[in-house]
Amino acid sequence: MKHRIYLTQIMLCLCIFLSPFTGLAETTQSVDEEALAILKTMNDYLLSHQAVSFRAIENEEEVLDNGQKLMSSREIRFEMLRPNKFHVKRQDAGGELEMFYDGSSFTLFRKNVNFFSTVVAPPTVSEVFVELEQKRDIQIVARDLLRDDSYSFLLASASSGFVVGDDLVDGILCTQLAFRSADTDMQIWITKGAQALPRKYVITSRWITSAPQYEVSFSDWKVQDTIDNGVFMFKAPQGALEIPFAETTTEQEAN
Amino acid sequence: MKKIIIGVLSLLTIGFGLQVEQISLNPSDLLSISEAEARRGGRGGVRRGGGRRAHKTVNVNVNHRRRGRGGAFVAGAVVGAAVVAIGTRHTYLPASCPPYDYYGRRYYHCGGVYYQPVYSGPDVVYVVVDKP
Repeated sequence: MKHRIYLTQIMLCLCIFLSPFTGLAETTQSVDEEALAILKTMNDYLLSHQAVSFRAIENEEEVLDNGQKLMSSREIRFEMLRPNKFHVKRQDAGGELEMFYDGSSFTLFRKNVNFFSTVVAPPTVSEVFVELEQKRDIQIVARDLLRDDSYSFLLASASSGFVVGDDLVDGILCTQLAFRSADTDMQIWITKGAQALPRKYVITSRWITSAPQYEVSFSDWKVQDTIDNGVFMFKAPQGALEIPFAETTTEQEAN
Repeated sequence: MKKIIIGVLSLLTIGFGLQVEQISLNPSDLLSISEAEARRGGRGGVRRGGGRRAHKTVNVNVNHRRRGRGGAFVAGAVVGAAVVAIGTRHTYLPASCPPYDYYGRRYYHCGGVYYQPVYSGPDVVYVVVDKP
């Protein structure tokens, strides 16, 4: 009897000890075929014509050391001509920033200070997106949706995905999809039909304290064959000065 | 005596089990937290969390807020006699700091300090440099 009690207690201890480990590993999930099909329809339509443009509003959260979250916003006008041109106008509290990529060089320009900076750039839009992010600390809006290999890129990242259902974005009925990757959750709202376009896109960094989010709302989409090439060329205005464009460092500012 | 030992072992096991349950973070998250920089929302990439690149924060107010970009917060001006280390970056120039052009390159010079404007990410910052 005594031995049975000891054995029971030891088994109980083992069960309690081992139970957390069974919860640590994420269960493997799959990506729903219907969700993939909607994503592919959107990607196919975005690729169907060379010229793509839209307006967007970005809302991005950042987290202070005390866990408090702040949000900042930007308004964006984006134009792209595949495979190797884009132009961005970005308005935030610091003023207007323009970015030009003409196939061989990339230029930044802030007209409120009249400084510009031009650097040699890779030969395609997708490569420029990656280089700007990795070396220059510039994130182009919704770049994962705009790159030529967007569908396969998103698919490779997702460990699970499903159709949430219908939802309204700015009065337009969309299908809401939700995906999960190792570090982030992604939600995307896509218009219905063959000419499917994203209307809203939200990324949640769930492993960061307070799970900050990045949200983009899209409007004024144009998907067409041509666009005025002149918009991708930077012409320095009178008095504009060229300054260096720093590569990413770990230096901190004093203020 | 045996009952006491088993009781103590049981309590220790339960306590340890609860501790293990709390350790459910992605190990790389420890790097993001310990860097004590702004941790940003995801940047539009499915795979990437913004906080992984916290070390790229540009504008740092040492007292309160850390913003990654936008450069649109009011920072205290660099004042007078303080020694300003070469390489430090400022969102704004000191008031009335005049331009100083050297062989076609723009600098600013005031208070014995030379500043060079550079693009850092999408923002213009003024880096303290040696006399050109």
